[in-house]
Amino acid sequence: MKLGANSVLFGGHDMETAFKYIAMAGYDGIEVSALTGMSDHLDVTRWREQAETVKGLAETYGLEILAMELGRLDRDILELAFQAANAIGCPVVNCGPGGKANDEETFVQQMEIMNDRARLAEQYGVTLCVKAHVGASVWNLATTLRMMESVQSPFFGVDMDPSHLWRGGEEPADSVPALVSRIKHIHIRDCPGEKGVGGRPGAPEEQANGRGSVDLVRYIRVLHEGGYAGPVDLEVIGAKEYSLEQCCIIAAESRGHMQACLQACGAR
Amino acid sequence: MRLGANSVLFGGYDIETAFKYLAMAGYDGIEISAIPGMSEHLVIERWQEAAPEIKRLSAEYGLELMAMEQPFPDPAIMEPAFQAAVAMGIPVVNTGSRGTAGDEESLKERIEVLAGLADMAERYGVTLCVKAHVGAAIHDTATTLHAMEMITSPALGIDMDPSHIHRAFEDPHEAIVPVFSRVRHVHIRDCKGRTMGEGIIDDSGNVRYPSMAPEMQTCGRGDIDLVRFVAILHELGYQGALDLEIIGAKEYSLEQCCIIAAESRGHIQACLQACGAR
Repeated sequence: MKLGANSVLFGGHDMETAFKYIAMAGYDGIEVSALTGMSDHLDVTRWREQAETVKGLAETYGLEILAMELGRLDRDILELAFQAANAIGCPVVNCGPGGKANDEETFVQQMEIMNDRARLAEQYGVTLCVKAHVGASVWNLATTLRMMESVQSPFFGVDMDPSHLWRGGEEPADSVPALVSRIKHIHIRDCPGEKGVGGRPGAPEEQANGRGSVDLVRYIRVLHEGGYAGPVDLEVIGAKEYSLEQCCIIAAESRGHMQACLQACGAR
Repeated sequence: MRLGANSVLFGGYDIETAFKYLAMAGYDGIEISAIPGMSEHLVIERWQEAAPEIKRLSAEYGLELMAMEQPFPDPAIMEPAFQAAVAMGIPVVNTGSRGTAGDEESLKERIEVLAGLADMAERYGVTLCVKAHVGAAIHDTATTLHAMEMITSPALGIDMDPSHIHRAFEDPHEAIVPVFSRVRHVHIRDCKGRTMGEGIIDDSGNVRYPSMAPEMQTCGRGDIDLVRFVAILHELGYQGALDLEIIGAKEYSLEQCCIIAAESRGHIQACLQACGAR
């Protein structure tokens, strides 16, 4: 597995700052945030201006561009993201599923959208990944399995995020075997409190791996046993106002935790 | 086990900076550096001035004062160090043996000095811990066991540091077992290779050893199987302090010191979780 971090953790700082300190924390790669409002790192509407800068930063800091996170499935904007991904050598674009939990109509609608966007991803040779997300049409193991069945494109994958399954009342490690054949990306973070619907994501420092309640040691072991060898990108949300030192601490603490998890299961 | 870090990692910054960022990184406690030249966090000659502020910082940042490192096994320096420890409620004072590795006379003389210091520690009600250190009279398991045999005071403990045992060409996982009964403190860090490695001359003309750089001492970055080491400590029943000790970061940026501290804390946390200790 390759360890990366989403640059959104450094959303209050510029993109080079994110590259610099994610590299210093020992990550193998980076997920470039195109999450408008949470960061000003990649604006896909201006990707042609930014592509060389992003590639240059990746080279300067020795970070592989493991993924990009856009968040939205809007066709026009997603096509720009696929173009940008293709230009900067980014293999995966992550999006949320949209729609509403437990609403069959929006589920069906979102599956149609995902099938269309997967065909679009294929045109650009990149993989669209979607994860179960609290409150969205795909939010737990059952709906993720339905999504896998509904969207068969090889340019479509599951972005598995244990924190959202935990908040959906499920044990993430138990869900891995059913999903691993289609997992093409992992978003990872911890989550405080009890497992279950309504659980809060926690403050950014509580999302640092090892600080919360999710058994990430077991989760990573099960991923390794399932043969997963793709990117594992830390995604911590809400740190835009945090000091640079605190962002560094969250990134580094999580990297150290994941490194030990990988070592504990023999993956490193 | 309680996780702490030696403030010497933030040796280029004041002591409050060390408290602030070690607390932010999630440590339970702190080891106060009284290492001259590497930090000015606790200057033993002026401990009476420093003690109230250190106690205040401990309360403000919620960090337990787990140990102090005072590297000179010299009665004239160690006695005020013990007094400072008592005043601040610090239970352990860590030191090295000094002397010369492989020199029988040096080992004998150093053990006599440490025995006297252990008696002094006993009078003050603190524990003096000594560790095997590369190049010193006590430098491996055999010399550690010899010191344990010769110094019977319960105030003398072993400060187990896997990085120095690794560099003594021993396996820390095996070496911990025979000395465990006297282990009262653990210094922890990683280590790349067993020797200094190849040096390079920097822009200032100084020789630097990249494999020994502070970032390479970060837990998880080196060659020591710390996952297994922590699991063995847990299996043996160790419940004391586990203090990260990173040497050489005095010129490092604050961000880099934070990263070394936090990455190591995350690593040790996962080690503890993996063996069921947390």
